[in-house]
Amino acid sequence: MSDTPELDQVVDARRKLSAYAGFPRTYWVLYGVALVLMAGLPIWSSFLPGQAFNLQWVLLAICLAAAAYSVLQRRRSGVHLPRQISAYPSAQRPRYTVLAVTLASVFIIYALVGNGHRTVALIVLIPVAAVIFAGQLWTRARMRDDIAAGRVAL
Amino acid sequence: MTAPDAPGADTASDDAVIDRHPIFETGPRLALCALLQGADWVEFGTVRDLIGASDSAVSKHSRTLEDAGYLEIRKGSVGRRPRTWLRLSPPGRTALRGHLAWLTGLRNAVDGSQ
Repeated sequence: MSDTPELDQVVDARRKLSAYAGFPRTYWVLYGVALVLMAGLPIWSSFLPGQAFNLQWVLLAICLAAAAYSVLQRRRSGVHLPRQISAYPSAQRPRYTVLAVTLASVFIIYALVGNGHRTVALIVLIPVAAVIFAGQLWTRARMRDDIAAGRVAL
Repeated sequence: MTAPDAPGADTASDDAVIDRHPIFETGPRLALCALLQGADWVEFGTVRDLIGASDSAVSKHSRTLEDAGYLEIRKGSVGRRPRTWLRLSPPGRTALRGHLAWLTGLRNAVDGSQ
């Protein structure tokens, strides 16, 4: 029997709350699709000349859908977790790593398409999207760890 | 996955003062506050379900913590349904960290003496 059942209660409460940092499988599938669409935008634009305007509307719709999902999830779950990454000390490094990889990838893919290497850009897109996707999974896992360990800084 | 810290080892504030707060020692208050520590706002029903307490218990203890200045309570609605949201206040967070640090020190002292 634990000498401090109070601390066990604390651990249990934090563990239950940390589950709310996860996303359902459907979200991750849709996120993967959106990621490929957005990261490969210069590639799709080159396949569909004159449709850049329409593709931007698609991009806007994806962003609005993501924002709406976030709002609905907070309402339905009854839990408002901190939005800013600075609240999760362990999740900051993966988040900034993903950000750096994303920015570099966008630059590289635009450069490849701009120089006529569309096929190479398409090949590069696959591992890039995989790395960004894995980085997001890593970030959410770290957020869960911080919540479960009581490291959230508000 | 990182190893969990001791519940009182809150790295968000390494200079947490070790300070016992008896207000947390009644009923589910400590579990309630530990739950709120990791979130912005948590809805009343979700708090009740997660700590396994009744509506009246959560209501009574949250009111006591609010009177002590440790909790903020916000009433709103989702659609037509009224909702109540709870959040730890900054003094509440400080007090909770101090109390958890005291409990962890107590556990370490007990473990060390065995």
